[in-house]
Amino acid sequence: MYKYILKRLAWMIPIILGVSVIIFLILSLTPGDPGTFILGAGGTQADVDELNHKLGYDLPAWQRYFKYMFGVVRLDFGTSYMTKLPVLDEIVAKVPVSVSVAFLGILTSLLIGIPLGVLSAVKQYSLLDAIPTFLAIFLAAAPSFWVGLMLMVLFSVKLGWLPSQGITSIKGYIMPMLSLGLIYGAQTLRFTRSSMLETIRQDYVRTAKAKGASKQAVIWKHAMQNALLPVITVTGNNFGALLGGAIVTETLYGLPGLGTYIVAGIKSKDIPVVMGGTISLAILFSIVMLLMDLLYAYVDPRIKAKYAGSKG
Amino acid sequence: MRKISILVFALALVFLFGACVPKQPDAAPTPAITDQTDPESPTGDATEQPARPTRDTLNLCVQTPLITTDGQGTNNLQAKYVLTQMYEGLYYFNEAKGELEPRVAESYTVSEDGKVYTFKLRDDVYFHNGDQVKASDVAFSFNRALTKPDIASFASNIVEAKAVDDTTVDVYLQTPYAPFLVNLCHIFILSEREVTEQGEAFGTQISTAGCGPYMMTALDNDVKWTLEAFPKYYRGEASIKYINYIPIADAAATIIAFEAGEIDWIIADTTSFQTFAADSKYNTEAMLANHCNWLAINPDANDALENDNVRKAIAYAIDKEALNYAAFDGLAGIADYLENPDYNIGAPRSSVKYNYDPEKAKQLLADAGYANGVDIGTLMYASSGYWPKLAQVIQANLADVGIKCELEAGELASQLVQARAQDFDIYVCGASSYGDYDNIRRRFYSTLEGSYFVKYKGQKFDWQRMDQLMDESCAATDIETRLALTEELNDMLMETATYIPLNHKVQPYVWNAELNVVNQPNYYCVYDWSWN
Repeated sequence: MYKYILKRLAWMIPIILGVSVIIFLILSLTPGDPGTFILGAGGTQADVDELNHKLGYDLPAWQRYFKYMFGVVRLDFGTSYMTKLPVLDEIVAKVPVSVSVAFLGILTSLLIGIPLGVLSAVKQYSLLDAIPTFLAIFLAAAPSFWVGLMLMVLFSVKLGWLPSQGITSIKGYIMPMLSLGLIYGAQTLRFTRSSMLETIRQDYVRTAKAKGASKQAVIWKHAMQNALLPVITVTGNNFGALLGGAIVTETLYGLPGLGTYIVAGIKSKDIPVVMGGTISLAILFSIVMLLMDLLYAYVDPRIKAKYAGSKG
Repeated sequence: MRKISILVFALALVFLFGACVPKQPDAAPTPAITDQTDPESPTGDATEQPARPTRDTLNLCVQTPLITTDGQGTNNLQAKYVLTQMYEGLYYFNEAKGELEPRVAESYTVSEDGKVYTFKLRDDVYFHNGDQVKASDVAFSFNRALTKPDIASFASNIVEAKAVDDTTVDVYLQTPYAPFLVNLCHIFILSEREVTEQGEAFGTQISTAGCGPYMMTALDNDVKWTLEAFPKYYRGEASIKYINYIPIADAAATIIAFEAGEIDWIIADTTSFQTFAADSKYNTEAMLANHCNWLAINPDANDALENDNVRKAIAYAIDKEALNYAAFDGLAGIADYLENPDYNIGAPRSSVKYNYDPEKAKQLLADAGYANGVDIGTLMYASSGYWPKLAQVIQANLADVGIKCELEAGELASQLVQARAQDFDIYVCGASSYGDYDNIRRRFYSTLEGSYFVKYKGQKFDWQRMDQLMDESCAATDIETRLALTEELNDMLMETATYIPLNHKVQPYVWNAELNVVNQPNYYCVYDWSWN
């Protein structure tokens, strides 16, 4: 098992290199330069050239890439062209926001999706199936910005309960959490329902019932453990995607997360920001995927046994 | 089962669209009013109390985090909203009145040759760090501005600045230059000691190097930053004690935060503006920005656009009123001139205009040999904001007279590079002005290497005369003489039909009815505001 973990960690090196090359190539091939963006339509070309020189943007692309990557090895992610602040410091400040928002969103989605999904499956074709299924389809189809705005109108403008912006207090986390939780909860519900429906028709579940196990024990102990496997896969992917992809939610609620940071960097051609942010995301995503794989092994003893077998 | 499904569907719709129902006055709880003199919450935490603000605190928003606290570190509009409260120049340019007002300087004299300005400084001005503002700080600030690309355009023509004594400073120019006085308003005075001591770190942390009416006291760049009225400000302490700035990138979220009482003053969109204007809870003012949108036409792009009559046909084919209604709900101003004469010193009301006249456009096309229509290539525009609407109306207007063009959307940063390389056919774009007609130099002067977007050198235009008029008008210290020169220049530029002024953008200001506000076209000064 440890060998597997080390192997997976080692795989992160080529992944990060690959990501950095691709991102750098894309940024270098697209037209535009930071000097033009910073000075805008008012700046003359001479001013733009001077600023690009100061930022080191006048060097050939390959030189800029290697210079940057040598820095990354020394944990120097460069300095933002726009804010003049070290990118690593900014990322370190933003990662906790992204992780906590993603975590809370996923947690809410699981708290909503799993119980409702199980209920929906065991009460198939009843009202308890119809309502959650309808809501799941509706929320899955609703654009995230619309859900976010409606929550803001309801809780901030109409009821005045929650702040519409910022996370200076615990209250600030509630709407982003709900917004993500509802949307991803709908997805979790659908996966849980279909997986559960398949599982409760398996022979071993029928055997458990025949042996006199209670209904609760059959559902939560025997069926649930197997039904959760595809849900774990989806949850892992969602969590990884949310770390840098909750841009709409971050923008709407004024959350200073990694997603908006990278998007702002892309718009202003702030290469150190885009590179640093993307590399950080690649690392985070790889770690999340590794954790999900380990969770598989925990939930499904067959997988753990497979690792143990291959070791021996 | 079918009935149940219908019931579920109906209930779900009621629940989900509940938020869309207009607010009933009695339904929502009354928001708590914070203690106006609460010493524990001097920053009036907007997120803790989404309610009415305290009378000494103002909550404002900007679209982006503050990219620098260096008063000379950026020309970014969002950052300058904040920096304008913290820093001051020798003079202040009142955009709405088009006049200069003294600030750090009391008065000035100009040498006979017009190349040396001597400023007499006030002796009661202090930086937020407690140091007195001296002539050496002013000289340092001007000389530093020469090295800062972000604001170098405002320092153009300056050779150097020298302190004569503690309250007198001389600024030396290369040539006599009338726009200098407006430009120097954008060069903020910094504390030499603080800037020197902080070195490279200056601008990345809380700055007390300004001498404006507000000093920065808290900076969490991604969440909120706070300015506090400077007690030793020489014009007297500001009426509003605290300003909280919150970055909100999304326009819809800004409107919601304003409606929730978390923000007190916003620049709304023109559609929401109409709703706010009809509500007595808010004050509104639609003010024209010192900004001009125009259509750039590249005369070197193809045979059709090389023809003067085709370019003029394009100019006459555009219905500026239709553009105004499509993009700004009818609130923007129609632009007849390259720079708005109401806001910019030296900007003339010249005679050459392109008013909507489709018949004349068709005639010009026929004269050019394109009676059956012509394809002029692509119309480039930025994919965000109001640009797509402007582009679509222009395309339709041109099609009405027989001019065909394809639309090409893109990112602004990329398009500026294309524009500077004159790699476009026609391009709808715009820019803010700074208070002087010489702003056009960046578009029209031949020796500004790479200046956008049309290079006039060659046989097609009398660029030597255009350069000469720009130089002479800038050297003219008498305003009448200057206006005569700029009028001739403006007519020449308009005759090229390479830049067609379209409209002046509108600023749809909306604010809390209890707040007294003095709006300005581009920037604002909270010092002039107060609570009832």
